[in-house]
Amino acid sequence: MRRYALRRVAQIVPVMLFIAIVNFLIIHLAPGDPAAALAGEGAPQEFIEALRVDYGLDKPLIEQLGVYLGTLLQGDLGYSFAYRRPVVEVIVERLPATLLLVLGSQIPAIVLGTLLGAFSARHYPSKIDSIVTGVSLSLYAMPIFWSGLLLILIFAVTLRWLPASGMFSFTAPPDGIGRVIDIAQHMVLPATALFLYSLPQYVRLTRASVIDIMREDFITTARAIGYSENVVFLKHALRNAMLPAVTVAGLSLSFVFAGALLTETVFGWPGLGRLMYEGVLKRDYPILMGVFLVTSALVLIVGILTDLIYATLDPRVSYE
Amino acid sequence: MIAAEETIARLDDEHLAAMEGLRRARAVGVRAFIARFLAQPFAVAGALLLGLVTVTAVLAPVLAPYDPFSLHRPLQPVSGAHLLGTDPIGHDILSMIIWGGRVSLAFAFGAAALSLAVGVVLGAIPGYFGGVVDDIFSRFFETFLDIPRLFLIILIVALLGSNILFVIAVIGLTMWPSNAKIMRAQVLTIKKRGYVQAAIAAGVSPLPIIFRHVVPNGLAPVIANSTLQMAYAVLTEAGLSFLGLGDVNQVSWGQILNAGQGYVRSAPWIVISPGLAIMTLLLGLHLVGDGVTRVLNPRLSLGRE
Repeated sequence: MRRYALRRVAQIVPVMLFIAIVNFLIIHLAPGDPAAALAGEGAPQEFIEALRVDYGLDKPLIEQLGVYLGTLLQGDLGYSFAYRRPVVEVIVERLPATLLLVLGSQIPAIVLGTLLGAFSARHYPSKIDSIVTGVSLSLYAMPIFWSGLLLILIFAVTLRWLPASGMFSFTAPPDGIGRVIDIAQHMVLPATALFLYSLPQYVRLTRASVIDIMREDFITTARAIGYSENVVFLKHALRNAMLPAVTVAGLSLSFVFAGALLTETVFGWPGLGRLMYEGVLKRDYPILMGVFLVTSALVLIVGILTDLIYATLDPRVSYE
Repeated sequence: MIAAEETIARLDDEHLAAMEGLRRARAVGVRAFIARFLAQPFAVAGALLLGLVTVTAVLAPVLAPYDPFSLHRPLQPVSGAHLLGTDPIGHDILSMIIWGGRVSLAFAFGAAALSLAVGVVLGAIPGYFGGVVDDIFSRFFETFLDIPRLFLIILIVALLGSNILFVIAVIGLTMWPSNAKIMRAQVLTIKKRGYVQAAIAAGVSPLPIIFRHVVPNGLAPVIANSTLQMAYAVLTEAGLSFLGLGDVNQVSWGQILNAGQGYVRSAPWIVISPGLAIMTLLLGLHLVGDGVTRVLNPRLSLGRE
């Protein structure tokens, strides 16, 4: 187990190296001066020249790559001219908002999605099951930025129940319970959008895996022994079907981040995704590269953690 | 010597017979496939939705009431003259929706076809030969599958341009690893089958074996995956256009949403219809994809992950 864990962790190195090289190549493929691209739009000439020296952009390509990787290793993701701050600082500041949104939407989505999927599978095949499947397919086909706009249209514009964008209001108290309530109110709509986007994934997966497991021999055996259908379902089928749902929760993080990017853009939620959008608007390439690098690292780390949890939960997983 | 030639001739005959059998099996397979697909009401509904979008897009010049780039009074609500209203610049939304289907379908088919071609080749060849090259390639798919793709695509498009053909290529070239992974797994099992072994023994060279015997018989799950990839390409194009990274020379559904998002309060009709259009196409693709998967693997209750 320990060796397996170490090997999984060691796999981070080539992947991150690959991502760094992709960043490097894109900068060099961009039309015009790589130093200007590294600086982002609106940077003054002196800054561009300083970057050229710092990154050795007048040296051979392979040496430039070495310098670039060296600066990344020191935790330096560059300097954003639009924000007048190092990219790392801006990203670290935005990360909590994204994590809050992701946790606030994914925990309910996993719990409800698994329950709904299992419920649907329990009633398979029936009208109820068809309805659950139909609804989750329709939700699955809704682009998240559109469902976000609809939520704004219904709950913020028409009903005026909730704020449409941002994370705080200026009139709210700066700390204490008042601030918590204020943030929670702002979070309801974006978290709902992200919840509706992820829910069908969990419903479909749990439903499929429960239905498949209900056909296994050990279920037939349990039924033959005379256990009631509820016991068979809860104790045998559901427990075994939970494992894949747990894995998908971790493995689909890259899907969740993509959803978060678009949700944060629609709702002006000040997280990493909104930062990426601002980077696009301002042509702030260091920010775009930095966010890409950091989200890739997060996706990788969570993927590895999920694998390790899975390996601990399921003794059949081989460590080879 | 003669014995050897006889053996080869016999193997050749066996090989030909196997091929003939295969062709017949495949012909029956296609008919059975269609019959089983049509037996699923959801899949048929999906095919109809897909057909609706396709026919509308093809007949755009006939169906669209106006040129999608022509200007009218901006922000007009729904009326007899403009059935879906006009956008903040003054374009007729209905005409934009009708023409926009072309862009979405171009992304669906273009990106998925590119991903299919690259994925099949890069999955089948290394998988067939095995060894170090195969190891390196399969590591590469795994690595690539872990990357948050939308962030990469945004980075590339923001830096290198948003020309429609370029973006189709970018999406296609970031999607192929999942096809390659499926193809490789198929190759590993199919390679062991009798008819492939017979072809190898008959001295057929590797590339014809791969593309005439192995790939056609392992293509089905890759095709099922391709319907998913089509949906992903449509969604990604809409997302990019929504973020303002669309090709300005094209009309697309995501661009209407991008133009309308600032007018949700004053002109809510702008954002309703393009979303419904995207949903129709995606629902069609998902239902067809589920239908195809279920035909290929009838034991599967829902279809896919």
